Amino acid sequence: MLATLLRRSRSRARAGLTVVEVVVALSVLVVAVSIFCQMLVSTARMRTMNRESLLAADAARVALERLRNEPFAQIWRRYNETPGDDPGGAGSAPGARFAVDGLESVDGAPAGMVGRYVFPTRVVEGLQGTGIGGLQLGGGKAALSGSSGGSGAPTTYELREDLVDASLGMPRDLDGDNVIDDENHALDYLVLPVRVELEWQSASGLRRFSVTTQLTDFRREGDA
Amino acid sequence: MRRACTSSGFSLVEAVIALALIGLVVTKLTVVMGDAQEAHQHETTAMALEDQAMELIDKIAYAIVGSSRDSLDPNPAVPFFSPRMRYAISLGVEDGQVVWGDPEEIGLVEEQGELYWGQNLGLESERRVVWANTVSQLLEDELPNGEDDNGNELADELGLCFVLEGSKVTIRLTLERVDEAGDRIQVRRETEVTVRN
Repeated sequence: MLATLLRRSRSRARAGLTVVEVVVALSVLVVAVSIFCQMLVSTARMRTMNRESLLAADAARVALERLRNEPFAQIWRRYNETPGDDPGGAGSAPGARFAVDGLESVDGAPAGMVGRYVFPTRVVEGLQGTGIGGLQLGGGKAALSGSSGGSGAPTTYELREDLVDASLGMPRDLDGDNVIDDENHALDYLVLPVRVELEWQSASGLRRFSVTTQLTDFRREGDA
Repeated sequence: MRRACTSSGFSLVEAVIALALIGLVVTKLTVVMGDAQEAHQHETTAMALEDQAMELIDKIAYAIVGSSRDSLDPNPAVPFFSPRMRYAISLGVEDGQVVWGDPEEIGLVEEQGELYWGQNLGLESERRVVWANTVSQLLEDELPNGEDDNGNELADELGLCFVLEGSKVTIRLTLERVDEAGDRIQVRRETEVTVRN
């Protein structure tokens, strides 16, 4: 009797693991390792995303700093979508788009540009008699219209008070006459709403950042 | 007979093969763990340096932003630069006149890679604080060869440099540190700020 019990006990001690036990143990191990790996990957991704967010926020701030360094009356013409109305001659201004070091542009973005300035600009197509960067008379007030396109019916860009864009606070009075009209205020604006938008390709997909503010001419008289 | 066979344990060959395999796995694992640890240390140092660079560049920008264009000295425009900038910030207006603070300066001591902020430098009331001592001799990707190696229109610019354009100050900073493995890590940050007064 005792001998039988001892033999059974020895046999059980040397029996090892069953296939089911091994499979269960391996499954648990695989699940634990995969969770750990996922955690590592998500931490690395989060770190990248935080870094990109910081770069984007800093780039937006720098973009606004650039505008502050410009003569206020020329900001819209120098940084709108069309090169036709650049104060120093067509194509001489920085334009609406800019690149950001460290952020990858999305497919289809022009020349790797990640950011762009958005103003209350209305694109008017098919106007007659406007030349590139020429003066256009409207409502008894001389106004400059940015334009692009060839001869015939060029597309013009106008800074408008009646444009509807809630995030820019539009429509609103831009020239301080207490009236919201449908004229081009490219030359007489006193307030300039602007939104800096950034769109870039991240490892986690398409990401966006934007900041909106309003510029006014805060410089003292006589400043450049 | 069969029972004896199942309870016979491992043969010497089996044990040797098992030990060899375990040894191989442990060796590989050690190598991988070592590499991972080294990479982790490298990344940690780089991140710490990047955080420090971001913090410093913001500190410099916010220090200068309240100054006036007239108070900035020197006035280096591209292709020139300065490793130090003197300025005075506006404290407010009194009797219709702007009240300016004491002259301040942010600069680089090249030999020590030391970035300092100072007020009333050279006077009895001088205050001087070292903000960092990890500034690189030259800006990242720049070589001391009299040429513009990193494409920023400046030649042989130092690890901290200021460039003016109108009222806009461009600040460039490169920090450098050697990690535990002896690798040199550099981080470059750049920003622009337009002085407000």
